[in-house]
Amino acid sequence: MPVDVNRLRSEGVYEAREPLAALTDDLNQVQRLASDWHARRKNLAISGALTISLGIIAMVVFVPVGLLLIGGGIWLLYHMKVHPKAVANHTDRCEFGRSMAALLAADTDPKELVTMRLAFEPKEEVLSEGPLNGYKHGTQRLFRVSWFSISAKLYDGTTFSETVEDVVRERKYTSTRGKRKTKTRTRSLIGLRLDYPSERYGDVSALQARMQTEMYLPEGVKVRGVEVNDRAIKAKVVAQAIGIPQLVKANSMLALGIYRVLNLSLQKRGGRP
Amino acid sequence: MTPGWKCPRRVGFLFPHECFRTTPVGCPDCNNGQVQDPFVSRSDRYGYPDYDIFPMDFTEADGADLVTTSDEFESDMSGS
Repeated sequence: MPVDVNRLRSEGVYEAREPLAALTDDLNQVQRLASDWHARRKNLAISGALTISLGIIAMVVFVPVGLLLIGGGIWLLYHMKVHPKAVANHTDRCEFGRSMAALLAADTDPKELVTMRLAFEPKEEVLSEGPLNGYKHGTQRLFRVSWFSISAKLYDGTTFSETVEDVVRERKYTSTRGKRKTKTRTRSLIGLRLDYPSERYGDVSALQARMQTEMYLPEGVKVRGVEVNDRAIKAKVVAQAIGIPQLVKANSMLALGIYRVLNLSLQKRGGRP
Repeated sequence: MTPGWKCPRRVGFLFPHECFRTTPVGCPDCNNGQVQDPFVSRSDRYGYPDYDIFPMDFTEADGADLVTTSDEFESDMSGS
């Protein structure tokens, strides 16, 4: 299915429900588009700046030409908006989406429809906002942006749902030199939910504590919570600013850690693993 | 393709399941039938090199001191 480029351009969102292979193709297309937009934005920025500089010089010689060049330069800079910055600067999110598709590919029917949503400019949900004590004109804002979600039914009947959101702490203050400063700190939160078939795995709620302690995760990633009942497992991990490749790794290790216990439960029930 | 041929091997990344391919020829999991247990033989499981081997023996008693689940569990995916 072709990517909805208009929606990608206007809302910064890619969303589809289709087989994993088609999702991967789409994400390749989105990444190519994003790279193209990134290059176009760069060219427009350089051209615009050069044209404005020439316009300023031309003003000395002949004012109308100078004004024309400055106007042209401003138009070039304004035209950058046609290629959304958020999409152009977050091509790595396509990589994350593809890695999710790859993670599930071995355990999902190739014809199964999988829902994926990738947001390049997600809406900020403010969690708290207030003054920053000890800083001149200091303010602190805590917000989260949910930029990825996927839902798929696996071969074993489990529904695999995952969301990724960034929790951002933004501090603004005036430094001792009188300059306005903005500092941000980002943590990524991976929320994984597995609605498992209890007729296959039994009730694994008894294994909740072990699931958490036996989970291996990369450095900088910590388990924030695991909840299990007789039908579903919900896990949350928080990752420091580790970058997309490490986030991909954390994601796989989280899913493997949970499934390792599910596999054991199946084995104990006498099911053929 | 051999009519009626069924692959006897276990495949999968997160969990083992039967292979639905109709021939081992060109199979990336068993490498043309050379790998006996593709599920165990995978080497891309990061910190889980022995994914199929469990280090501890789980018993029913493991559930005795478990944390209870919250009431919001079913509907709240965003809660911490």
